[in-house]
Amino acid sequence: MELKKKWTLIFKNVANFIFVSTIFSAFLCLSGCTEKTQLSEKLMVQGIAVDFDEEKKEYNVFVQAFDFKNPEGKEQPGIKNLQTHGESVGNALESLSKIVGLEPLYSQNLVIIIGETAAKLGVEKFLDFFTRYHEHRLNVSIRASVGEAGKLLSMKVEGKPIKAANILALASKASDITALQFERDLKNYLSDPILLAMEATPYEKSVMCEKIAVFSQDKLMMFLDKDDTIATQILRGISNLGPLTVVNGEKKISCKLSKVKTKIEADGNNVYNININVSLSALEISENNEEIESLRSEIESKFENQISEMCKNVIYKITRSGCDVFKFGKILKNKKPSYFKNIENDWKNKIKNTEFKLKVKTNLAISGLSSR
Amino acid sequence: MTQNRIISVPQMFCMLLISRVAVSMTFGPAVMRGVNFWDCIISCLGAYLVTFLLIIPVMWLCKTNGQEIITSSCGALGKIFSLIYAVYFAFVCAHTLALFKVFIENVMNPPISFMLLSLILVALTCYGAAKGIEGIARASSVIMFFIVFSLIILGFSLYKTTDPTNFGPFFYDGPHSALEGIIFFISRSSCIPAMAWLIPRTNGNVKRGIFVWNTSFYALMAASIMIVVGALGDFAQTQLFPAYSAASIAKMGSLENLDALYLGLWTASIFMKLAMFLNLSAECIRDVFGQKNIKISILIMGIILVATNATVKLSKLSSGIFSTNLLLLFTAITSIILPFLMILSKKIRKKNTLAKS
Repeated sequence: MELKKKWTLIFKNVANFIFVSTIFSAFLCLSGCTEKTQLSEKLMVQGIAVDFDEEKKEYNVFVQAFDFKNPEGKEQPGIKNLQTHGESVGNALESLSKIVGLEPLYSQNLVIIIGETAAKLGVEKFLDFFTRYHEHRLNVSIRASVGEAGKLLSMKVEGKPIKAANILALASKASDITALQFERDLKNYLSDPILLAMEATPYEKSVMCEKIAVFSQDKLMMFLDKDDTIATQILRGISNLGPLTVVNGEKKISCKLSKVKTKIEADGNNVYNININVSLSALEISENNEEIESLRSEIESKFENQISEMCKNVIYKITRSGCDVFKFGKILKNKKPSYFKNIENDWKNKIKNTEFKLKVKTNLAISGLSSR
Repeated sequence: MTQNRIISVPQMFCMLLISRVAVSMTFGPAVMRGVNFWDCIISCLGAYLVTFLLIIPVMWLCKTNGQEIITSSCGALGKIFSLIYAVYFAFVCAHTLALFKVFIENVMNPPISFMLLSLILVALTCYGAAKGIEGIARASSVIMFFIVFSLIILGFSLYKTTDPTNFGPFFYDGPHSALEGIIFFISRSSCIPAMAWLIPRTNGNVKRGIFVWNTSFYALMAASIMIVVGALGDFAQTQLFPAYSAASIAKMGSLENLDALYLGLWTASIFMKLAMFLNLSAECIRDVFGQKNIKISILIMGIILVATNATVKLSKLSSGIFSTNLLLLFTAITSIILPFLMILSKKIRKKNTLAKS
């Protein structure tokens, strides 16, 4: 009887041992233990620029990736620019590994730049690759470019190639548009997306990002100039915008638009109340501080008028072209669903007749010297 | 057969909440097509109330039976009922594993084969199930803590990306989406039949537990839908698993790619659910065949699970045997019809005994 107990115990222990070792060896087969690819064996993508060649009817894709073989500093990898082409962006990027012999790693990608021609043709065709493929992140920034995107990504500043990280830093995080934000507006049948647009500075010395590309669904409609860009960002409630200058008599006053609060409400059928609150930080005021205090309300009103004018212009410009980048359609749908249901199919025409009441309030903060 | 009350009410509802979260967090086009997610908030309210109604037969049955196994008073018929429950619980495991497979294949796309991955997962769940319901209940309390912690982090980190204009009017395209949502939630209520087998082994105030469990689950689902719709807008409609897509954009300070948190808690939930239902299925089989050891049944079911799961594809997840209508039918049979039949059977037997004496 004892012998039987002893054998049962031995059998139990052996069974437990086999179970534990099977599980353990199965874990050893997992990718973390078996995949031994070194970083230098991967093409760690940092930036992708997409252009469309109208003559050849194919996409030209420029890729900026880390170059581990030619490091810049002790612990800093260099960068390399590669060019590939194909019938689709996915095709072009897949053929990249055949050119360089490295496996592309897209999860570290910082920015996707869409060239003007490709954007005019429609971005939905290739954007799917960047949102569907599991390695891509929805947090990646998307920008448009005036002219060719590849040119910007392969540009040299002071003899050194411009890095994707530097391109990313050209705009504040608050104003940047991610793949998710772009897709969110694109997939909504009412709203239209926008992208920050970049272009080369005169003589192609550097890159600047002061424009906005307005899309009608997935096709590029127009680029907005600097003032319209600021106004669009104000209307979309983006804070930490750059400086704005107004003329007061013969003097110029520059302030930074630090905090922006925008509220758009539907007031009646296709009429909107737009309330904008802007906090201004004085950058450059060529007045004595004592005088500034007495002129505060005057300065604030100057800025209010200028912002109001800029916003009106941009709303007219965008809505008259049939684009809805300020989400008027969604706001109206949320406020008056039964009314909107009747006009939703004709929304692209209805938006052209949008009416609005704009109210801008500024709050000037003056810091620095007490007198000049 | 009388059972010992070995788990507490909070432990039981931790297990049940986790197992509901595991399946319901996969709401999206993969399992429900053509549904406006925003209307699913209303579905949560509807399903919340319907769940209370669905629990009544099970509660009544458990009250009549006390600590006895629910099928024990039905004689030979009870064996058939136990077998039906065993098949249903095994089917719930197969459905859960199918969800896991579709998720892994379509979202993660790992370089290893799913067979290996499912083999490891099922082996681990078999081990958990073999350890008994007490062990699973204890583990669930720990997993629950991490789930709550992770969900709070994900919720806060996604709050900033929320766009209020994404919250549209309810019933804009009619009540279809809300009704579909209610059917979706109710059809995945495998916890109710599980409750019938767990309550006799539970110690504490069950009614209060049910209220807390149901309220917290639907509140959690409503909050998840709100966050997903707020963060993704109409883009959510294009994602197979919108909750995962929302988690993939979450970031907190310098911490990015918080989808790892989602994956961790979701896999833990899947493990919990599989272990619990495998154990329950094995208990039902024990009731049918009367064997002492449930480990062999668990092992056999584990092997069948891995073998049958290899054929599941994305298209089959919301059709055929896994279609919402069939799932709803199975839930109705196991939550309403069988408990009523068992109560009826017990009453008839009691009446017959009284008549004989």
